[in-house]
Amino acid sequence: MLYFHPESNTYPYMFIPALTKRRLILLAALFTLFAACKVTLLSSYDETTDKVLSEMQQSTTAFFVKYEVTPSAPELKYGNQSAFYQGLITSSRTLRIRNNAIEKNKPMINMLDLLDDNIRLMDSLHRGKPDGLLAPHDVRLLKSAFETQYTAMFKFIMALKSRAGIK
Amino acid sequence: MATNLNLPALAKDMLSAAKPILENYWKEVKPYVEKESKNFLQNLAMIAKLKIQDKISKEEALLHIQIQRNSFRTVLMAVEGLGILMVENVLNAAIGAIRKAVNTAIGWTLL
Repeated sequence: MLYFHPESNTYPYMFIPALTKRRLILLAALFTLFAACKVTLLSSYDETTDKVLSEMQQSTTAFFVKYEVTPSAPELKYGNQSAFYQGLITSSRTLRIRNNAIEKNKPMINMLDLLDDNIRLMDSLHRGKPDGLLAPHDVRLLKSAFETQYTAMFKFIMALKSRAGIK
Repeated sequence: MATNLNLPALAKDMLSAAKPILENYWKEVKPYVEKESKNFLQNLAMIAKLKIQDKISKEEALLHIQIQRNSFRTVLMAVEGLGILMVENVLNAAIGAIRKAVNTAIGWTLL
């Protein structure tokens, strides 16, 4: 019985039998669950993250290419590379703050933390070199690690992009 | 409502919708993880060799190992993320596969 009873000064829901009430709640819950008709377990694609990460990857690749072409160039000494490291760390932390504000974004936040850690570790390795230069074997290992890391992150970003229907 | 719904047939439809997504995911992810695992092990072997040959110090070896670990962990994180997206796809495909039957049976758009 859903009609209002003005003489008893009561609200209509009080007249709904308990069983019907439960059915209505269940129906409402089901409706809420499926209303959107689309299950979303992860955040949507973020163009800024994609763009900034691409810039970071380009900067890192350029750094390794310079080392491969001119391994002992004075400009590659640690003391002359502070802008490179500061630029990468600034971008990485900016992305971390941005991604932290996005809901359902744990995989990307974890990957950004690992990238930030690796930039810091590469900085430590470079800083510790007596002549200020990374050796070819260092470059080979670092290049492999960073390429793997960026590729993994882009694989994930591409999947988010594809889900959003963006080519 | 329930009398109009053929539950075994709906379950079959849901599984049929989920199967290609699961197969595609595994087809893409398996070679990627295998390749990166191999790469990780090769890099660890190279670090060990450089240390044995005294081409790098213990501190440098530890830094390199940590860098390689972080890199491989990123691969696993990406695979985890892709897995979540795969689950999302499976759920949506399964709901999509039974949408028409459920909506028709109850007479209004639930799914």
